[in-house]
Amino acid sequence: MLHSELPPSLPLPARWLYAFSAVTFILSASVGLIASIHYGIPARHADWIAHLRFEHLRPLHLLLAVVAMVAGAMAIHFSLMGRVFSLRNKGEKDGHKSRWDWVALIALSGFAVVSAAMIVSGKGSGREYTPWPGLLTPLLLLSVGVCGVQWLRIIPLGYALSPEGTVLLAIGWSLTFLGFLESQAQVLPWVFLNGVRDLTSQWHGIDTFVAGINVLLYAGMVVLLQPYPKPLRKKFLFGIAAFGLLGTFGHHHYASPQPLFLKYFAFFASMVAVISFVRHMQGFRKQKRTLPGPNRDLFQLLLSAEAWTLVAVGSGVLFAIPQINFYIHGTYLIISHAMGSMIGINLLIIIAAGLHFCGYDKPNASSSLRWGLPILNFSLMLLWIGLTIPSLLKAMERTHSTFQFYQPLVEPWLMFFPLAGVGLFAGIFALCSELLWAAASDRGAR
Amino acid sequence: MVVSAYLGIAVVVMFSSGGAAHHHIEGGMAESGRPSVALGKGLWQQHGCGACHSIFGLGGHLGPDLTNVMRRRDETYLQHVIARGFGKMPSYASLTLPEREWLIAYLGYVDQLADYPLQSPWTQAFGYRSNPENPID
Repeated sequence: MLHSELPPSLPLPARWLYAFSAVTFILSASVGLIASIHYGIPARHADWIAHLRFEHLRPLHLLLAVVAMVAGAMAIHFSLMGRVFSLRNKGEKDGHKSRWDWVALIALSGFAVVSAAMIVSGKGSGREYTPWPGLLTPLLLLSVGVCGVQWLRIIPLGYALSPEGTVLLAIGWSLTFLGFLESQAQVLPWVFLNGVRDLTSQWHGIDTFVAGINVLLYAGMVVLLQPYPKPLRKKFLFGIAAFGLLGTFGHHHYASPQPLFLKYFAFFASMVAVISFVRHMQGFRKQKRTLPGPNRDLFQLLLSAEAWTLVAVGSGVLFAIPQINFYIHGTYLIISHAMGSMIGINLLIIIAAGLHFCGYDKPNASSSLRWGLPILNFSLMLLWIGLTIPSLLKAMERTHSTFQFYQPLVEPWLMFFPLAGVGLFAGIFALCSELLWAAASDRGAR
Repeated sequence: MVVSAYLGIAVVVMFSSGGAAHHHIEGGMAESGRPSVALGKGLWQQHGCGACHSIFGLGGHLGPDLTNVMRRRDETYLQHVIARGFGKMPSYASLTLPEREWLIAYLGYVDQLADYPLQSPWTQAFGYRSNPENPID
């Protein structure tokens, strides 16, 4: 039986999680837009926004983005669980029901709400990319752990659906769990009390959970795009991908006195990503540009995600070259790289998967997808192009002049933050509201 | 297998010699056990300083990188800026004098770890310690 021929079997928690992911993406975009005004508009013109303090906005923006991605990955997981059980029960509807689904959903929602409240009240962790209070991490681990255990228990069944997707999901959940766990390694005194070790371990944790989430979303894409179960690829390709995913953490702070062998390790692991880049490029060139029928809009989303994957991997490889890293590290281009990956890849995959599983069925109607996607793509391009100039200015000036000297030169160019921010917000709102609508209405889920 | 590889790297990362523990840095947390530095780091995180400021280029871009701020500014200036604010930086008048001193002690510790930004992409692409004659590792 083809995947697409499977009858409706979308578990209710999956619908909730798609909706939750869409809402948190919209909230994250809203907070990001306000934060971008702090960047782009000089202080004398932005008194009205000064009471929204940047040390609350930035961590809140990051928290919501992380929660949105985890919720999206969990939603795809539950969707696939539904398919697996549907396949086992030969098409019986609602084959998968477990109270643990709700435990995971409630744990994640509780984590998000309490963390956001704590950050707004100035009780966040103050750490980059893990801004939630460390005491709440067990809630996050519970939600991720439940999904991981669920998937590990049904691996044989999942194999029948998609061997490659099944292995990727198992790896993805493991890495996400371990990465979140390691990101809290500061509780160990010998880590916290050593500034460099703390930085290295923190970035290893961040890289690992981001890699885990990326693998999960990619697994969803694999199952989504393959009508027939695809066998596992060659082991060495998995090995190369794993080496790249696990080894690049050191390139985030070449400039710090972390051990030199970690820097070389990170450099080689980052360069291995060239193989991934070439394979993506080949795949992209062979890719059809359009598909007929009801999946056309969804295919456009995935095509954009593939294009932004090329940009993210290509720029990631370039930025990891020490001599280029010297210039771009600590500049706004890193923000473009991160946002290009989170919005251009992760968000688009979640939207495509969510619309597919929730039974999106209006290919020819006027849809917010039609205008949302081009606006989002254009705004991301604007961000990349616009922030290149201030980044280069900062890179050239900072070695021999002070912040007070070069910042006035850079500041006018930072208008691209709010300019692109408005477009990004509009695009994200359009796409997420479509997903929200699909998740809320019963259109015969797949 | 991937998980085993991850665990191996994580152990190396958590137990490898970070700069401060490996080298004898005056006032470094790991060596002298000066509580003021650890308290200062706690305050840095508690008040979200990293949202606007960066250390080794990691963190926010709204304010200057503070890795080597202790070489550019004296303690009195920093005390003043923290207490009164400056430009877009809000005032942290609620911080007591000892708390401001802890924050400055933490910045002093960071300052001794390495130089940032580097001066040339070709000679020290991977970063180097404050004393050029004593390269890392």
